[in-house]
Amino acid sequence: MNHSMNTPRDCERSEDLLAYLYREATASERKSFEQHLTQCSACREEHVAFGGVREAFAGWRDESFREAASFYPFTEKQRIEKRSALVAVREFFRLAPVWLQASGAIAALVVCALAASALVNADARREQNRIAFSTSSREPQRDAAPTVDAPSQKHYTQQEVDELIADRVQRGIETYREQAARGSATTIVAKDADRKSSAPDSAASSVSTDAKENGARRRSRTTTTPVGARERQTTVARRSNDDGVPRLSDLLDVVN
Amino acid sequence: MVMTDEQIVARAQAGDREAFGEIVRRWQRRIFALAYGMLGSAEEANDVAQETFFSAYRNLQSFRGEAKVSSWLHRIAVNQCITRQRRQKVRRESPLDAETVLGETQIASVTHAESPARHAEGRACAKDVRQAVGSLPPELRQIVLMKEFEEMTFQEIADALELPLSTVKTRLYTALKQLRMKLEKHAATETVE
Repeated sequence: MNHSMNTPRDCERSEDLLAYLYREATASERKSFEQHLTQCSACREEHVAFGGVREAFAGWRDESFREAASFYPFTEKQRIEKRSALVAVREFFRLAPVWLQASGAIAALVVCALAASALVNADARREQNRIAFSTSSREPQRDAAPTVDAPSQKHYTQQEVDELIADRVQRGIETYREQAARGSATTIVAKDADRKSSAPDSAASSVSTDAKENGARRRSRTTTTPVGARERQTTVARRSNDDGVPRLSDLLDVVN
Repeated sequence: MVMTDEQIVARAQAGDREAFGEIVRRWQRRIFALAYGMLGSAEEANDVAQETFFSAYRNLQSFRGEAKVSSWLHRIAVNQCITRQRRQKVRRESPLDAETVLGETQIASVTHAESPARHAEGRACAKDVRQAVGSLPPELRQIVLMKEFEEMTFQEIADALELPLSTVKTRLYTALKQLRMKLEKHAATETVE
């Protein structure tokens, strides 16, 4: 069969021509048809002509889509807004002038450095089933419950804090007593609910009920000055924290 | 993760109105472009796009997922365009009328050998192509649009139209031949003028 004598109408490979034209032929079909094209002038001529028709289609299609884009500007805007951050950054570095690209890069590096510095200096600890996070510039406010010590920093348990406070108060009381023994008729009675190390002055002291509520580690103190009409009686329990631990400064004010 | 059209339509069928809005947002520009490609009028294309989505919404429950959502919408839009063209033809207002009177006998008078095919087709503007496509018989025009606008494969077109694969290729081949002759004829007329 002489393919070169074929006309488009009697060539049996019109379907192969379409598959080749629209790039839907397999590799072997493509190779076979390319070989056929060298022999069949009709298919060759038609392949060129149909390619021209497809080019005309492309212009027609492009015009239609341009018109659609201009008719639906909001949709187009929406499409741009939906671009990912990565695409936006890439677009910025593609379109921005060099000086702006450099400034942007430096600013990004500074921000990253600051963030890294903050993370390095951060102090995270677990307190009563929650995570407390702070930077080194601020001490976290601790609750009454014992804390889990960070490896690099000493923390005190509530019991240790109580003992420190009691010692400081006791020393203050003793100092005051010494001053009172030297000439003042003022007496002071302090009672430690947990340690019970010093004998309570039952006539002049009272104990708060925090121990009942919060266990043996919690305490409160009532300091009374029996001089005159007990005008200096001050209760410092529950002054600072919900757990009943008084502020050390308040205690010192009382005893001094 | 981006949902497929079919998943969104399934949600719309379950009563999610927002989901159908997403379908409209995704496809309104392409539907408009298709209608504009067929009708050549932005206002009419917009009308067709609105009618297409309105019709799709009304018939949402009848969509069974056998064809792609895009094919479904395109088919509705093409039918809307054809209906409009028929009305225009009846009113003798259609710009396609002049082209439609170019019967096969006239077109056949242009021989392949004497026409500078590639030159003529290269010069064909969008309007000429639109008129040429509009003058095709509906069964050929539909396949051209599915191939060139929807960029469907032959097998997808065959599945969507429930036609044999060879029939789809034969129809497209016939359509391309007719379009080639129409465009060559148009180019030859322009050259004479």
